[in-house]
Amino acid sequence: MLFNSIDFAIYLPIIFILYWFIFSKNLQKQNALIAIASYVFYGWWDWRFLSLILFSTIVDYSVGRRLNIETQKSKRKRLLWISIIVNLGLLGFFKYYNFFLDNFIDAFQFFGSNLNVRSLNIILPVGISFYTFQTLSYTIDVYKKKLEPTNNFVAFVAFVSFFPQLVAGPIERATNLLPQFYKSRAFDYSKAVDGLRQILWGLVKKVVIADTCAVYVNQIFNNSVDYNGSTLLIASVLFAFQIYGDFSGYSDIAIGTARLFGFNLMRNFAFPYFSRDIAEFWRRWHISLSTWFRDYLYIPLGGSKGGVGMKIRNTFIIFLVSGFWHGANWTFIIWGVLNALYFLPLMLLKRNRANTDTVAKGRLFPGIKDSISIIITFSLTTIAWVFFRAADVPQALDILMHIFSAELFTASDTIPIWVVVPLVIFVVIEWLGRDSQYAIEHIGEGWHYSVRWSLYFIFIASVFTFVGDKQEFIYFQF
Amino acid sequence: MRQFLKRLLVFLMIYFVVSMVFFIAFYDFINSHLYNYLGYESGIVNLQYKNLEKSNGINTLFLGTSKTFRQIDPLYFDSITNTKSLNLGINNLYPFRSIDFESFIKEDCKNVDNVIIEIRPLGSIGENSNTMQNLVAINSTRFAQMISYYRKSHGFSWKTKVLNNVSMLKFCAYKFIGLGSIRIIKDADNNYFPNSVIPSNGYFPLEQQMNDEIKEGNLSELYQEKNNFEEWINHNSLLDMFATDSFSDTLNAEAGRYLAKIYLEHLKSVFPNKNICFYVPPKTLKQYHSESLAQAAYYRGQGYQVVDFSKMSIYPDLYSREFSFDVSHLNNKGARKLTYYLAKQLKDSIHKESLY
Repeated sequence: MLFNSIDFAIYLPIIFILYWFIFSKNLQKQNALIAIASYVFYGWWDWRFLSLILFSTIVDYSVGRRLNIETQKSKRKRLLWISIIVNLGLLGFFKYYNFFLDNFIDAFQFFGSNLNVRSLNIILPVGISFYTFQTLSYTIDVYKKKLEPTNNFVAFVAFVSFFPQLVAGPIERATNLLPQFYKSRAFDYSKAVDGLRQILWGLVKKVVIADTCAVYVNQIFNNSVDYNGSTLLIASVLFAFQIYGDFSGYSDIAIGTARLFGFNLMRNFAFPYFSRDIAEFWRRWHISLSTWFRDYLYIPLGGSKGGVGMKIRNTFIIFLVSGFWHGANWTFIIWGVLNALYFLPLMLLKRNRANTDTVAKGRLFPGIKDSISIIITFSLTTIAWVFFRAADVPQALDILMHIFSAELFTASDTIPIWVVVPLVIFVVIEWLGRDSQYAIEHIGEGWHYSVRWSLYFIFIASVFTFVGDKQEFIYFQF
Repeated sequence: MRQFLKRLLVFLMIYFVVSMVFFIAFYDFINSHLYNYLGYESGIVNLQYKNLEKSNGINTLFLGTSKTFRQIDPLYFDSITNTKSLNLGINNLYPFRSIDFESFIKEDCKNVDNVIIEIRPLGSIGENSNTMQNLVAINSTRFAQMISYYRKSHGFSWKTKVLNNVSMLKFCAYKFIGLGSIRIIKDADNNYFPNSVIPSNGYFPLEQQMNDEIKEGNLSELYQEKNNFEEWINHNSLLDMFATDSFSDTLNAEAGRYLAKIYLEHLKSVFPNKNICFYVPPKTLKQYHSESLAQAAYYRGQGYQVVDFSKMSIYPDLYSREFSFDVSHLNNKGARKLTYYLAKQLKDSIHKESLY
């Protein structure tokens, strides 16, 4: 079920009414409702893959229980490895089997021998990378004794499959989300209103910005040989906005939906395109994934505490894995490597935490230095996005070669005004709200409600105006 | 909780009213930006239309659905009638959407003398009206007529009435709350025919498309469809699908008459001083039969020539296995046969004075 579908527009109020009116007095029933609603939500896409989530859930629940009983270090470690192997094994099979197989075949062919192995026609279950990491965080935290294992299976099922963030995050930590299932939840008016506002902003991002850009991005990237450098540059910039609108829009809808049910999910985006360097960008982009890698991979590897060699190694590992997490394609790996290369100089010069505050805080416009830094960071990111979007590495290289050629100074194909205008308005609103959790969180505070409502009317009307063929969220494929 | 729901309800109601007022007030302004018929269509329709735009001496126009585009051979027709015709049939042409298409091409029809229109089931709007294409394509006048159609369904059964009114509400809500897709690309896409090459004979029988696809090594859906039909006809009779010579469904007939009136009014405004002829294609499915015949009767009553191929008893060959591609379309030979019959019937009534 897509958030931007009529199905979800009907489904959500039904669950909301059941949750607050029928089951409001019984926590266990509320959790059960969330678990069932989540399974229906996921099964709407393909019910067959529900067994995968259930299997993962049962394994990690059981491992968590055993970890609590087991005191012997080696046995505890073995249990942890069982969870890691099962979860990453499933992920590896569904996501990476064909990739590794094809590359093995290519490698063997390179050395003159032919492997007669057939690749399988594997369907990638939606959101497998997200819920796998979420459930893994539970086992690892229990193993590290940061979290008490749960005895409440229903709450654990609801935690793993929590429908607002099941298929595209934010990837929740068990330490944050699971305890929320134990506490009774009372309806909070301001929280619910805030949730609706965030959902609305998420829909604007997805429908008005991402889907509008997608039309041009798809047209140009799918026929990149037909376009000149300047048009390809515009398409790359539009893709930067598309992926931001798409993914952060999903996160906003997820966080807003969770708030309607009384849950607080972690923040996933913090206005990344206003970053002044790549390190800041990565603190603001897909926060739940980058902090997951930081906590469960980077720090266990030694983080930045070792020598220069170790720092470089760990940085490359984290970005490579991040790229690979996105998909079984060399384009994602190169995207990861590029980001590592962007990041390394900052880290080696100890400048990676130079920009931790909000840009131009308290001012309407950024200074010249900040503006230049923002533009440079955005440009570097956009170059990396070309690899992310391209079908394969040769296409990405070809696009970049055209962009960085004399063709850049030739006239580009015109982008219609109804793409440019919403984009400019969007950037202005994001800029004005950059100190908030999401752009429109505080916009309109203190205004007369009629003015504030008018603003919301405009947002809703723009969503309906721009809604076209339903576009899936890009991150569903990961 | 109650306060939350109450406020949300008030908010949504105000939104609905405000957006309706705005939408009605600015409908034509907004719609003129949105409306782009050809953007939705296959490249081939766009290219065919460009032929009309350039005029190229075209004096006869065929309008209709796939039953026209796949079955009327314009060159063959011209050889019999001494005309220069253009087949502008469009696959899956939804009722009412065609009305706006006709308005769209109005300005390009100055040199056209004859417009030959396929009678198709306008009454099936209940099934198709909620598509995005329809919502965008229908202009305000036509929209009002559609609502009027739904509201006038007083002679229908309760079930139909309820369904019609539900459709109408859904339709209004969709139309008023959202304008549909603003992201219509100006140029036609090439989804349907990737290379947008117009077949040299100016129409494209399904069989020809299937053969082309097979040549490219593509055993497409058409191939499957053809095989399914062959299999089906081994055990079934086409008679079951089409055999009816009377108004079997009075309600649909009533709808047909009502819609024919609207449609003819429109045709007269779009194609003034043109010779308009109609034809009922062969293999009109049973459920649309009564409505199509009611339309035909109405046009005849208004003095227009209507060629009716809906009777198996008169045109058995058009219903035979030999000339069929699938249940509702003819194959290459069948298309030629139909074109021949149509040309023969219209030959005398087609104006020829302004030829070339």
